[in-house]
Amino acid sequence: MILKKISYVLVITLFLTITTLTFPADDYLHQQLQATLLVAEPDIVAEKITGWAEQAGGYFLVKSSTRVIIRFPSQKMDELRDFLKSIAEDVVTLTSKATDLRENFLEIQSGIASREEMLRSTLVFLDRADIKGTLAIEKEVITLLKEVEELKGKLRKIYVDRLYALATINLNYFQQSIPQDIPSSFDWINSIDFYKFIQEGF
Amino acid sequence: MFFKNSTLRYITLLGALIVLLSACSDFKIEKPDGFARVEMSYYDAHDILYKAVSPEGILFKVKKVENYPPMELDFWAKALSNQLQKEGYTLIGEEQRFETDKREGVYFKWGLPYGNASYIYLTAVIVCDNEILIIEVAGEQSIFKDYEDTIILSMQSISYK
Repeated sequence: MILKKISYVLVITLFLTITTLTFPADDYLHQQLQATLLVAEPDIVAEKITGWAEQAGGYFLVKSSTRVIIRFPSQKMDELRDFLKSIAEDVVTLTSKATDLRENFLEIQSGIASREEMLRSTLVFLDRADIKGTLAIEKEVITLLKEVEELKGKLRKIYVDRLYALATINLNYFQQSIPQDIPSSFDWINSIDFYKFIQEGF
Repeated sequence: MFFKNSTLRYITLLGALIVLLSACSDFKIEKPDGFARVEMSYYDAHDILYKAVSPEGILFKVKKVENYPPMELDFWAKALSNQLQKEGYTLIGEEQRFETDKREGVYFKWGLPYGNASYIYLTAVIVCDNEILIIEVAGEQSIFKDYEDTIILSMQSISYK
């Protein structure tokens, strides 16, 4: 029984030691970019964007002929902007924003610290408890461990958000409005009209 | 003397006829691969030089207009590009230059909606002294790209005057 308790305490202590995440203190921003591109060949452009993300050390979440979502190293944000401009016929919108992760990070970190403290103090009672008490403590420990795990998962997400920016790129194929008929000063240029050309047939 | 004059007259007339015939057949082009050449009909405008169509309905036409005011290729390419952009055509990529046997041409690809589909409209200009050759090609985007290379090759094969 004592041996079991000792090994239990050891495992939990080891868990608390191993799963503590180190988080750099310099940059807490999650960069996000949203773009709408006008493209001639959406499938090829989607392929190019995901290829760029992989080459930059990131990955893609969604790839279709209308939308691409990628994650990529935050420091490559400017590079992505230039790349998008180079592959699009026209950049309709290009907006970026950053979310400060500091508040979330501190909240989660303190949540973890308090639960770990509770775990340590709960374990102190373990060697003095009888069987019923041990079962109750074990239940409490399991709940606390679960909560700590959940919080550490959130912390990992913040860590990933900080390292990898998120870009959502919508691909539009040309504008949907029909061109206006504006007269030119040159007669022959007035005869260049797509709709007239198509409707005339051969 | 009369015989000689008459012969001379015939020779001159024959020469003029040859010149006229050769002027009519000045325009040469290799048919885009996979296209069918459409013969000119009575109803075609006199400025149409060539027509072809793909099985999917991609239209290919070459016509000529007067180069007036007489200007160079760059001027007309810019005038055409400016006008179509002003009208709201979407330029795909940049202007592209191509070589025919004697001259240089410029073409633009435009993107446009038509029905529920997206279309490509290619417009090319070749300046031949006092005339301008205009090439127009249009078809659905997904089909057009399959024929793009052969269309460009055909444009490069143009010989005029």
